[in-house]
Amino acid sequence: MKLKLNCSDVDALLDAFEDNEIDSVTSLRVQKHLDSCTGCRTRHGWLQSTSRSLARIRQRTPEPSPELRRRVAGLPDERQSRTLSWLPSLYQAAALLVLVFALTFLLLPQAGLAEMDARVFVRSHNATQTVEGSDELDTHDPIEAAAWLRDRLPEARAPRGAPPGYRLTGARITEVAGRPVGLLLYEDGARKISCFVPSGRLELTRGFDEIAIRQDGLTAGRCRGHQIVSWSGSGGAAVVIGEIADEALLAFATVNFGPAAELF
Amino acid sequence: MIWRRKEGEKKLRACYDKLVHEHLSSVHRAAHRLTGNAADAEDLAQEVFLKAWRSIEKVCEMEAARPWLFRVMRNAWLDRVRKSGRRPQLVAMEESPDPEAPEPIARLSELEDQQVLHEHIDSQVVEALDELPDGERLVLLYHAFGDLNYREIAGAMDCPVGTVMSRLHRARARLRTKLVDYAIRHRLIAEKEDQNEAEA
Repeated sequence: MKLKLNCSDVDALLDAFEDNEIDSVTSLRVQKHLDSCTGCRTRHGWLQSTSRSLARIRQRTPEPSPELRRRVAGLPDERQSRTLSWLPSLYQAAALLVLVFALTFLLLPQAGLAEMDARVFVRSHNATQTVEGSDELDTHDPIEAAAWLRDRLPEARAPRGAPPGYRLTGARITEVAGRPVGLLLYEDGARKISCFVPSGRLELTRGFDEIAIRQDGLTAGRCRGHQIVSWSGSGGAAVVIGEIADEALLAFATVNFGPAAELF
Repeated sequence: MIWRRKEGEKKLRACYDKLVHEHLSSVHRAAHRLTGNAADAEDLAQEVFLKAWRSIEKVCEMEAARPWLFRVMRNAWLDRVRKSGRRPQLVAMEESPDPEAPEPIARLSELEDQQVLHEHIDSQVVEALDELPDGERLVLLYHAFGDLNYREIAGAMDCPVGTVMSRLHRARARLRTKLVDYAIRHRLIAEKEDQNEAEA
């Protein structure tokens, strides 16, 4: 930085000077300039007036109400009480074993319904990333992602697009319960989700041997000894068979990425 | 194994409680100014912490959770704006004097009740805040009400620190222009004296 600052330099630094975001040496240089420059001193005066006004407005902004504090503090308890007690407890680090079977037009009238009307999204795919042999592609291009997946899983389905608010960040091939599984990876800046892309022939699963809960179009129970959750909707349904880590499953989305229901 | 799991849950819970203790006030304050009303502010703040709890393992591992919390707030607020199809109007929370009928006000040094003047000025600033473009408004709100420093704001907005500085600079310049206009209208300052300042 130059030894002597001119008005243009100081104008660019004034906000950081007022906010204590510059180093002490530069701060002294700015102060020295302000001491000798009426114009910059006036500009600084207005900046200080604005800051004081914002500070007064801030002081008048109410604190969180006791009711809000109580609600926010109680959020973990609310979530825990909704967890289905029959779900197994798994460590976060444990590999997520999910086999995805899609029930599509085999259960519903065939006319007008495409295959893969349903998608299953999983929150936190970190567990699958750590599986040995996982292969990953960084891309925002859905066509590139689809081609990459099909190279490795010939029967992998092409993606239809990102869920609203999310953008594609890549694709991954990993192995779950000895079977290759394709994933499309999305993020919205705050959350990362994966969409399972099935490979190979899709197996239809019919019915439950034992139903534990029915709620908002969801059915959870057991089928052939496995814990499963199924959704049914006008666009199709998906059945997840396997051990589901608590909080792992995110949503079921229809083909149009309509409103997604939170499972847990 | 069960004992270890319970210990893990306790740690996560303690981490969450600490997060709430440290950040609820600043999150709520920024949400208040962002949404313009108490009910929406509470909803937005609660949504932020609900998302924090859902990602609590990740959040607990972060060196600094604050930028993440404010990024979640920004995304949640933008979602609401998109869904409602319009930007929520920021309603001034204080009584605003009628700007159409200003009475000449004595110069600052002669004023008996500075509080009245401050209220007038602050109402102008609140109006100016609402008129800011979203990017500039968020940066200013996060700094003035969320207590975020430049680096934290950059993390929350997912942009370089330089962008934060330029947005803050522009936002404050707009606020300053509004204050100067107000001061000239109410003859708190001579028009000629600060004509250059208003144009700056």
